[in-house]
Amino acid sequence: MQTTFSEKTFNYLNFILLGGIAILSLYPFWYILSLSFSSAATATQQSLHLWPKEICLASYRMVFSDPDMLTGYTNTIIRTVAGTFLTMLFTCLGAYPLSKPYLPYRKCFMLFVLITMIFSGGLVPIYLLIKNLGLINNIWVYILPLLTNAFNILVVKNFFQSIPESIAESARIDGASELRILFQFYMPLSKPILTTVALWTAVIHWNMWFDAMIFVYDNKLQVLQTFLQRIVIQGQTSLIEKGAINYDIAQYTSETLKAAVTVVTIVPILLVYPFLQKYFIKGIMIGSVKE
Amino acid sequence: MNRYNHFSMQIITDFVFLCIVIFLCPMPQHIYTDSIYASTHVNWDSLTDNKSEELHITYMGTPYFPNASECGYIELMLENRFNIQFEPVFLDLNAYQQTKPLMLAAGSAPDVWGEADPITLQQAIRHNLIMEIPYDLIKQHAPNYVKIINSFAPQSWLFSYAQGKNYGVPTIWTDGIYPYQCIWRKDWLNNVGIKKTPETLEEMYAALYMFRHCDPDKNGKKDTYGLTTNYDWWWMQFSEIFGASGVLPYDWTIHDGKIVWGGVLPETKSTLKLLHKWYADELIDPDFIINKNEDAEERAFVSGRVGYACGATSHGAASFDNFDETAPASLVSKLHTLCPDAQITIGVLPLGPQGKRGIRVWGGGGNIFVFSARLNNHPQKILRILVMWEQMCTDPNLFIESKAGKRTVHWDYRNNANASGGLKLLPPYDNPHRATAAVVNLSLGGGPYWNPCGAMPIFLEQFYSQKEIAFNQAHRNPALGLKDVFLKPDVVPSAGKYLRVLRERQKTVFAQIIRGDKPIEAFDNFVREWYDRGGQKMTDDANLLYKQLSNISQKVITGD
Amino acid sequence: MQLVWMLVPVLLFFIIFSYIPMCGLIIAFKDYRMDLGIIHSPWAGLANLSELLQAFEFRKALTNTIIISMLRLSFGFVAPVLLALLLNEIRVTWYKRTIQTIVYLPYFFSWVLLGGIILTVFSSNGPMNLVYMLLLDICNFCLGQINSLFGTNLHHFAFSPIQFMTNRHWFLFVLILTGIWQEVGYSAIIYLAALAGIPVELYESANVDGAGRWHQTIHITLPVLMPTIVTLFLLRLGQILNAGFDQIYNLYNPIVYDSADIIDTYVLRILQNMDFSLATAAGMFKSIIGMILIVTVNMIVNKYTKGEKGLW
Repeated sequence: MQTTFSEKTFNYLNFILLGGIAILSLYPFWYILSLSFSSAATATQQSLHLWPKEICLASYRMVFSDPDMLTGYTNTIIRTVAGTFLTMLFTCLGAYPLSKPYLPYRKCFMLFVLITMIFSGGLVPIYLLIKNLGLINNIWVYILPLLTNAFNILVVKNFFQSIPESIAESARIDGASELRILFQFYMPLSKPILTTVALWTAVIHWNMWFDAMIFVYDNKLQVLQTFLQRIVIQGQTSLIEKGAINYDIAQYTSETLKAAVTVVTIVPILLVYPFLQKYFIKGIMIGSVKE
Repeated sequence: MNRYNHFSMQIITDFVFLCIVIFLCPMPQHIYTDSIYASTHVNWDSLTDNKSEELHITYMGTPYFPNASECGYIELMLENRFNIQFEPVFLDLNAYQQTKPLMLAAGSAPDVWGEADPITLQQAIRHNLIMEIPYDLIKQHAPNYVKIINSFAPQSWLFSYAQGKNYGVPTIWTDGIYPYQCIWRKDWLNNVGIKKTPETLEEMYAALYMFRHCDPDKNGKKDTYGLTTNYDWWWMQFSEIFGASGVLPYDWTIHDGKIVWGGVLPETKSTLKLLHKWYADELIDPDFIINKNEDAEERAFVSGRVGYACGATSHGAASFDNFDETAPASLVSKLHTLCPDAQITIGVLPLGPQGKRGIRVWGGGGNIFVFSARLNNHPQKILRILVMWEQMCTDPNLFIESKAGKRTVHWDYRNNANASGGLKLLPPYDNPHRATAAVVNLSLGGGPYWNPCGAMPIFLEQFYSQKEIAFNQAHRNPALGLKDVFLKPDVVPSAGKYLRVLRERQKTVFAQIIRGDKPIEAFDNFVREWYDRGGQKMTDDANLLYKQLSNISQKVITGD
Repeated sequence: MQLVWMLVPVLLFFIIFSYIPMCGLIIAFKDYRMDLGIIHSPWAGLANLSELLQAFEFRKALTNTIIISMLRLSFGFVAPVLLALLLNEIRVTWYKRTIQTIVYLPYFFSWVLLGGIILTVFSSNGPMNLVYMLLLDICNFCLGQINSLFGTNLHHFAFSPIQFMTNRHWFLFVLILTGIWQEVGYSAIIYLAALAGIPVELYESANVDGAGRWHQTIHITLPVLMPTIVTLFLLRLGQILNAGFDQIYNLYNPIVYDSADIIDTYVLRILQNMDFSLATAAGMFKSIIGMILIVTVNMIVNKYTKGEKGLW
């Protein structure tokens, strides 16, 4: 395959440009990583924190000395896995019929879904609803309200529409039900978009703390994010705690603690991403191989 | 024809949906009926509390013990002693702020809870969510507690005062009366040839000028400033500089026998003029406006960016704990890690041209404890709680046990048998997680979970170290503390409507004047704007409230 | 009919968790009293809305919100599309994967954390000002050379730090830039997903026809992306009055309040006063503007694409 000079230049420039963007995007992660390993004194200095001046694990010791961390991880993993799975199911169930132009009252259903995206009731009615559904201090409160949302349905619906109707037609002739068509043909064909939505949902579940804060008072049901936030707040208040002679307290600041907490939170999700990523690149990979 | 059909179809379906929505609307009616707060009158006089009856009380104290669980040591101790079955709610600070209004709205608030914000409190009173408790009732069942409040912070009755009635029980915050003190880099002063620690505004200006322009850290770079502040904290914003002309720019103060807002006074204008000059001479760190972290000033001081610090550090620059060389997290230790040659000296608050000096303090009033309006069915719960508090603040053993737990289990004296060396938490409670999980805490000056009283003056010798008492006497003279007339400016009834907006406006205008974006004349415009946009109403209310305050004080004085 | 049955659980979900709480919007028209509950609170008519619209702060917040979200929409919306297209052009797979993993990183950091970093980077002695100083030095050096060469007397530029965070124009710049930086990688993945769906044969036949990269992008890639772009654009319009609360709250300071106070920060102050009726009215106002915009633009889109690309 011949490439012209201008294309080559473009390739190089593009290469460099994206590299630059990547470095800029990497910086906060690097900053946080470096800060989380810094000692209290060095973290206090105003600097770019390109590397920790001395490695100090006090912040991590503080984070992992909390016996509640295990509870937090368990609950968060449960809600992320179960929540993402159910969300995928519900989103597809909603998106598939809406992607069919021959669905009766399609426009009305669309409007019905869209309105929920623009209008929301506000905190007080939602709190009352959750309370009356008996979901206060109940693990389902993490999953049920997030089962699906208009945005995900629309995005998946859009992708379904780009799948040729002929596939569904031939399956229907073979006597497949609509549900089977969805699960057997549409879902495998829509891997890229489903992965996207799954990633979005998983990230939302993983990072969500607001519902836990408002609807759950039981420590055993709290999620990771809540405990991490508490560690940060506590770290601030107990820095010069009277009578506390625990030596580690001196070795972290609220900043290094926040940093360690962030690292602990995002590393699991960073580890998952590369596995999902192949679905985003697959189609193009075939193209580049053939080239 | 086809097209027409399609169109009419759509109208029909639209209509159907509208019907569904309208039909569903009444459905929530039973979901939303939460008007549990029927207000019935309580006859306090005939009310008695049968001590042998076990009472169930839901209780929410201060939100600093989120990971605690029910049946901790202190809870069981109190339950046994007072025959109460507590059902405590432990929230963290965020959850407390966000969830409490929702709990109130949904009718699931606890029986007793601590309320930190006067505006929320007044709003809850307006909505009949809080039980009225007559002052005399409190005095009858907790006479010593009332006496201590009245001697310490009688103004705090105002927090829970509305339409001539009392709705809560104030708490005591001993640490709130000690003013912050400023600290100087002694080595910097030496380097620029100043022998005496500055004591007046002029001397301060001279020293800070040298700090900026004469390279006090001898590194050959012009990278130091005189001072900075946490501009986001209105209560500490250049507080000692304003204090040198005797004003509190964000509070209510007495001026010629009348209550006025400090931010509109001529002294505030002259201080702003001074600050502008300081800014123009580069004494003030230009980033002072973006300081948001609570330790911004401390960080600037420790990292050698400024050579002077005062209030806006996490515990006040010159608090006793910051000078503890043995505690590695103290200001002194941090400074020495970064700069081994650094020396700090404790200064004095700058003296203004009219011979005034001072800095803002919150005063001795803490949070308010309030009772849910649902308790009108069980008013004896209130009596039981009052009796509990009365004993907590008169019996030293119960006092310390309800705050720090059991001696030799949770805490002990540092030197053997008495408090002259202060207290310490015992392992494993020296780990903050374990301490909060067990609801034990040695910050005696504030109001932890179960006990609403800060360390009363009578308990100070028993539980504070000699060194700390001496330090506070030497450097933190309560007489230098400038207080709001009402202790908290948002106690004024119309504050809920105007204060937050006007305060943000004031921050903007003051910052613009200090930076020189606007000339000092902008201050006069601000004053007019302030009065026009609700300030007049607030001032009137404040003056009315002040009259009521003097009535209350009268009552307090004659009542004792 | 099977299709309608499939929809039922989803519809039920929306009715329970969206439509029932939505009835709570009536407190915008009530003088909501917590002791009486939503239903029994007295009606206030349009009093809340008119109070809102009369408040000077609200009108200013509204203006700011519109300005900021317009800027966000025009720059922030294009950025992920561009990034996806550029990524698509990279043919070295490992490089592409790495870049893709990295650019979505900032999304995982809360604005509380990013705020600290941004304040450091843009502070008056931070790296951005160092870069600026360096640029000025280079300029001055060149000027000096020119002066000595030609005997001219051009003035040197004097350095005074740019007040990125406390100058209202620079502040907006920082706001938009960091906003893009935070979410561009993350928003791009949906376009990448759409790109992954393009049949490879299309490109192959284009190659055979001798179409260059540029042509392929214009004639194959963009048309395939178009439905996604239009959908996302429309959905973003519905959210136009959400100008990024977390970001602004963590970055702004008193001196830029005048240009950075948005509806959400204003509502926060109302909520702190527990004035639920007013806060709900403000939220409803936002929703209605969003709805009007989305309906109008959808109509326009439908008109120009003959009903193919609109949302409904």
